[in-house]
Amino acid sequence: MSRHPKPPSAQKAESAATHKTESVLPAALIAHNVAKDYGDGPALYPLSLRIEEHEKVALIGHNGSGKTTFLRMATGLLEPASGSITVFGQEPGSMDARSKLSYLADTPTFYDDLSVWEHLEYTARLHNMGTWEQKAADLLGQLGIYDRADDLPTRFSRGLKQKAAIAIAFIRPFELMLVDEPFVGLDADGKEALLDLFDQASAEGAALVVATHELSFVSRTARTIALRDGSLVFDGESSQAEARGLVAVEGTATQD
Amino acid sequence: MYNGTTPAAIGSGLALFILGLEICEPFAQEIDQGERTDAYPKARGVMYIALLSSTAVIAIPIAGIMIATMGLVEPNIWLVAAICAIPSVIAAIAGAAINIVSGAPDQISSTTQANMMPPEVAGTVSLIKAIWPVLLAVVGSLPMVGARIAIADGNPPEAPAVRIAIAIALMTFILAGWIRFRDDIKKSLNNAAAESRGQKTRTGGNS
Repeated sequence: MSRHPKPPSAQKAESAATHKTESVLPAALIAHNVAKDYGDGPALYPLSLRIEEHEKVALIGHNGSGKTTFLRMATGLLEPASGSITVFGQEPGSMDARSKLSYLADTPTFYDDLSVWEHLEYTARLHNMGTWEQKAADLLGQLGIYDRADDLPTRFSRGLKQKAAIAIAFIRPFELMLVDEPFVGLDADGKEALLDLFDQASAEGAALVVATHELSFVSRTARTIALRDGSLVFDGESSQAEARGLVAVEGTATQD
Repeated sequence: MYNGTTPAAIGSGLALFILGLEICEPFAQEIDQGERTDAYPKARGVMYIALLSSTAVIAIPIAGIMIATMGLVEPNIWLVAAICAIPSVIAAIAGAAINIVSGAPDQISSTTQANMMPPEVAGTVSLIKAIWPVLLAVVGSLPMVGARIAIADGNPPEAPAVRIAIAIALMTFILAGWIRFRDDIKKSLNNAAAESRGQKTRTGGNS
């Protein structure tokens, strides 16, 4: 591990410029009547919403409520049956959208023969990051897997895989991050580290949409969107969602 | 001395095909991780070509070994050895690349496309998919055959070897274009088909 920079855990992450770029576009994400049907009934009924730049949003709902479907359509991995989505005014999956959007999927995927460190390097270089080593070391240190940097993540346990995937999602520059169930499999330290990373990214100007059942994250957001059986049932202040018991119902009732 | 060695070209092609599969492993892993590739702000085809180019660089020492071996057996045919070795390695990589691309899940076309085919057609398509990458790798060894025949006929071996090598290079170039623009071509075809059915089409996408 001596060839990697040391992770000064208290050191500030790389400059805010990594996440923040000047943009005249009106919103990070706009969905207009977007719907999806997999053939066995609607997975998502027409949904319209707008995520502003710098916004931190919790997306809650039971399993099968349409959270993942919505996120995958926003990333361009899934095509809507109807309606449209734009990411900073661009079509999901376009080069411009990809350069601004980081997606942390619910199931981490890795290259078979690349170590964690090599994954970080590969991702950083593909995003034309000049200096990435210190940021990579900081991320791994923060997530508590710095000592596993040279190991293959494909051989990790579920929790360690999740931490490696988190590091890869955060190493690259982004203005919007879509996250699907990121807390699953994480230990207490890992959850705390991830919450800090979200706070950090938000403070640096990135918009965040996190599909989660984790109440500690919801309480840190200003806005909560709740889906139930493919329909939008709430979109408003997180405090109101908590007051109405929505967070408890949509969040904890279905925790894995 | 070389009479009856034509079948050796097949053995050579098969061996190089297996080698090609091995050195194309980074390309294969990128193909297998389509969703990860879609997270990068680079066209998928561009990334594939970049990975194949680096694979071609790795193949240079292999071609060197082939040239050295042929040169040691026939010290006066270094040029012919180079003309024969380089296309055989390139064709092996090309064959392996086709094999990998053809075997990967389609990121663009509908998954129902194959299911719509009659079994006879689907079987034939599968057979062609399995055979033609190997065939291409074997074709890469043909300059050696051409050179041998020319020597046997008392002619200079360079010209026929070069002619076959140029044909292989051209074929590889077309293949590279196919890999680079495969998604765009499929997307255009899909959009055209959707438009003919009066459905909505996408102009952007994941290529």
